[in-house]
Amino acid sequence: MTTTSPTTSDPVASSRRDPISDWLDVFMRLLELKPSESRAVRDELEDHLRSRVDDLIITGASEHDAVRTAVAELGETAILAKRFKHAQHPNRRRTLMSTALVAVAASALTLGAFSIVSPPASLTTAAGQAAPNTIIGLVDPPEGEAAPFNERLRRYDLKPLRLTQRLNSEGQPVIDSEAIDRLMHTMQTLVTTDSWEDFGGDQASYSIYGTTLYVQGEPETHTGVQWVIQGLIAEADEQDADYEAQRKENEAAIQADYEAELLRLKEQQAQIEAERRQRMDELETQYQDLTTHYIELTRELAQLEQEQEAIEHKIHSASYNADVMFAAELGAVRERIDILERERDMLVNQIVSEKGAGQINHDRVKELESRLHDVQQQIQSAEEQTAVIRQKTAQFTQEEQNKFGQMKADFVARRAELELRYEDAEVRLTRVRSVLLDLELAAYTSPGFRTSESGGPQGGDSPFGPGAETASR
Amino acid sequence: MPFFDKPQLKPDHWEMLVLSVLAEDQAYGYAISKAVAARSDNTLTLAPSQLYPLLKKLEKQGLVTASWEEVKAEGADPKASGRRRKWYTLSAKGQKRLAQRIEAHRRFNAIIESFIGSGAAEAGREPAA
Repeated sequence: MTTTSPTTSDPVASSRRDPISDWLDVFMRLLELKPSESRAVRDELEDHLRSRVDDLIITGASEHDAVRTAVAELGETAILAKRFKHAQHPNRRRTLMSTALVAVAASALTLGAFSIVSPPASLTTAAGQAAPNTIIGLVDPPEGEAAPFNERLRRYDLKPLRLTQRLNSEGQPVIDSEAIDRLMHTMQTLVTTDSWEDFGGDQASYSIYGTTLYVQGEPETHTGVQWVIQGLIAEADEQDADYEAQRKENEAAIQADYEAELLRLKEQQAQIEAERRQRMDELETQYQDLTTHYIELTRELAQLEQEQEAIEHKIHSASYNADVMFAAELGAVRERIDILERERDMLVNQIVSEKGAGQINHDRVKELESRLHDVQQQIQSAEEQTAVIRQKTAQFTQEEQNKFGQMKADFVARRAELELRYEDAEVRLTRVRSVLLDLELAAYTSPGFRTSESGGPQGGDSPFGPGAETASR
Repeated sequence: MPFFDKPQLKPDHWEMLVLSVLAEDQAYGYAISKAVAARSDNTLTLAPSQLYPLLKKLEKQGLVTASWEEVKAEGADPKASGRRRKWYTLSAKGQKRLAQRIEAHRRFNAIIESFIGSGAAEAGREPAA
């Protein structure tokens, strides 16, 4: 990385958009600074983060991890913003405190609640000397008042100031070092400033143990310290009252929001329930229709099967029926053929007999041969008639078989179609039944709510629960 | 000495350390934090949440002065703008404050040393058999 010589030129644009820029955006919103101040803080922090990321990447970290580590090292964003705000505008707090102190002091002077020019009488002897107290810490003074050890060393209880505290390694509450710095900076700025060691003086010093402030200094310093502490206590009381009022207002707003949300959810739930019921009614109707259709199909299919069986029977019996139908005609022809054949045989015998006689009667033979010829022609004609009858039988059989075969084919096609509709109806029935079951189940497992019959949501009626009004911050 | 691994310094100490770093040369925030870590063998870590508010406080008190420079990455487009870096320089008032802090610290150490100088030798000695 190269650097140019220091300059006071206009700020340059921020770097590209990335997680660092995003984090800085959030952080700057928390800071709520004026644009000029905001730009300076942002640029400085961006330089820090990007320099740190560069270092981490050089040591082998991925860019993603480097950015994450660099941001994490900054600490919690909200706390960081608070520290920056305090560093940027320490006087704002100090001005507020000073104003409060003046107000409290004026009130105190008016009411005569306490003296700001001399220590309380209870802390001095009749001769005006400090009351000796060789065991520091045994006496708890009233809020903000000093417990004297001697004229110069006094102890102040800081608990009523409600400064930020934490627990030390022994589990004892101690005041946060930042809070101490702010308090003592205010104290030293307002009270006998030049006497404090921190400001180059040699007349006043302090130390803090736990929540107790020990001050060594002149009476004037102690009077001022006490005055400051009393003022801060009054300010803390006022802040507590404001906070409590704000807390109650917030709780009321949250409660109102909660109730409105509750009402909205109830209405939504009721609407969902109504839609569910309507859907179930529709599905139940559909289910009944499907069931009726299914039964009709079943019946139709059974009937079709019976008809198909009858047709098959007719097909099988067509040949037999044809034989029966032409049997008489065929029998008559056969009988005539038998008679003609017998006559033919007789005529042949007579002709042989005539030809074998000593004296042949040619006229008689000729007559017999003529009659034989006629009979043979008749036999031939009868045979041809028999063939015709057989042909008619076969044709009839074939026609019958064709007719019933076509009917059978129609039935098979119709049955196949019915079976498809039957299966489809079964599937639709199963599906509708499943949806119906789901809807019924949903009515019992609806989270957080029951229908209006069971009386509202489960859980408490307040987002704060019982005793919320007395909850502390 | 496990409790010395990460000593908890008071704000005054941090102020003294930062002023000491700047007494050697001007520096920017991240460089100051690196210098503190390096000179303490990584025993001391000056977190950004402490460092930058402290620098702002020192600037407001006139103990340091600040100036800006533009920084560009190597190989960056010469026409493109870089990011801004804030440099801190110790002021005359800061030098005086640093001298006071150092003097007070040395006095404090001398007092502590007067207590533990011989006692420590006794404590570290092996008990007689």
